[in-house]
Amino acid sequence: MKLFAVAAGFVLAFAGLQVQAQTQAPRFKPLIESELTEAQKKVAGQVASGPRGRLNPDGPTALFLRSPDLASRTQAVGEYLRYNSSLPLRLNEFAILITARQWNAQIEWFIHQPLALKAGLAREVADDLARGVRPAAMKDDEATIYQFLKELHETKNVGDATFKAMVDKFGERGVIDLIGLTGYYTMLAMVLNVAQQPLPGGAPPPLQILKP
Amino acid sequence: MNTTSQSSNALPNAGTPRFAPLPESAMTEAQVKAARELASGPRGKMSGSGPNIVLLRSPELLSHTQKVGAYLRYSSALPARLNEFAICITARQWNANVEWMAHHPLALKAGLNPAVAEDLAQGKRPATMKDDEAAIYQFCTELHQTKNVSDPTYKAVFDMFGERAVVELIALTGYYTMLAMVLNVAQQPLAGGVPPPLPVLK
Repeated sequence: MKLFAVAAGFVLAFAGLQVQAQTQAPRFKPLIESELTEAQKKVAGQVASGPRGRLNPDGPTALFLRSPDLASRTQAVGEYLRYNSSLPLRLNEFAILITARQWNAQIEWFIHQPLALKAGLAREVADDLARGVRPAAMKDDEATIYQFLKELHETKNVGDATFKAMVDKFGERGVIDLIGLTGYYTMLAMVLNVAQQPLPGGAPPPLQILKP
Repeated sequence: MNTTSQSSNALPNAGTPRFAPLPESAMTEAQVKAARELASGPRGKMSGSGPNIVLLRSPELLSHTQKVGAYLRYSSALPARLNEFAICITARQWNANVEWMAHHPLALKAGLNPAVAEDLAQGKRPATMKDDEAAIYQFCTELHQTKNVSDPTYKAVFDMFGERAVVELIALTGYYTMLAMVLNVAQQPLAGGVPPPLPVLK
């Protein structure tokens, strides 16, 4: 185990890779249920009574709870995007994984990779994505989503052909739901990365940091 | 509509608009409801040239996102000068000209030095920032460019403004990133056909 860690450290150093953000010290103290303010309890209750069923203490909403009024509003956006989006669940979860990969957001990937597989995403598509390569075995609709998000994150817009492929398949509402989704999960990745929120159960980070 | 091709260094949102204007007469019932709900809040009206009219293609989504925006603009823990500065930093990171056009005047009105905004627009670290502006600039710039912030950068914002403000600053720059994505993909034109305020950076 120790030897492996030393070897892994050597490989990382040799490759010139940066230390993964999420392996550093957490910056937010855990919220203790008995110490929550009334406003925080109210939001936690609101999340638990919705389709999520509980407030995940390892997730971003618990971090947003430092600003309870804001958390109540962001969680409503998240609830819409996860449960009422016009995009099929498989593509929605795939889009979240693409966002997590772009942002090296380990927890986001950790939480949504099983949901994507459950919704029908092929494991090798997720595995290729985790490694930072264009997935070889994508279905047509998955390739459309992948191309749109890759261009958007890397060039800050999408080409005409990419836009057209998306609007032809999913309509204007689908385009907007997709941008809303990747924007929202970018915001969550930002808060998770800055908080250096640890992975549940001390699991190893599922994503390697890729060279820019 | 002018359909001549743009110069080779065309900005991301300088192309042909991709979403048709959406007057109330062309809206569905759900869209009218979401638009009126927004107008009844602190913004007072639905802008025909901003991101919300584009987001209205998914009315339920807009109804939720605009409430995040209303909180961040009108109830944030950060002073308006720093809030608007952070929005301008986000707009600069994303080359979002419409976002810059809307918020640059608000930042100046809230007390941001025009020289600071001008340096930012040119893609330079502003030379004359106040201490609190430098803390916000460093935080947002590191976050967008490295996807995290260093310990001293984190500590500077945390010590000045506290944990709630850290969360609200991240949400602010994340939310305006989402709006920039919408505006850039929509290739939403600048109101009044003015030239883009942000030069393209290499």
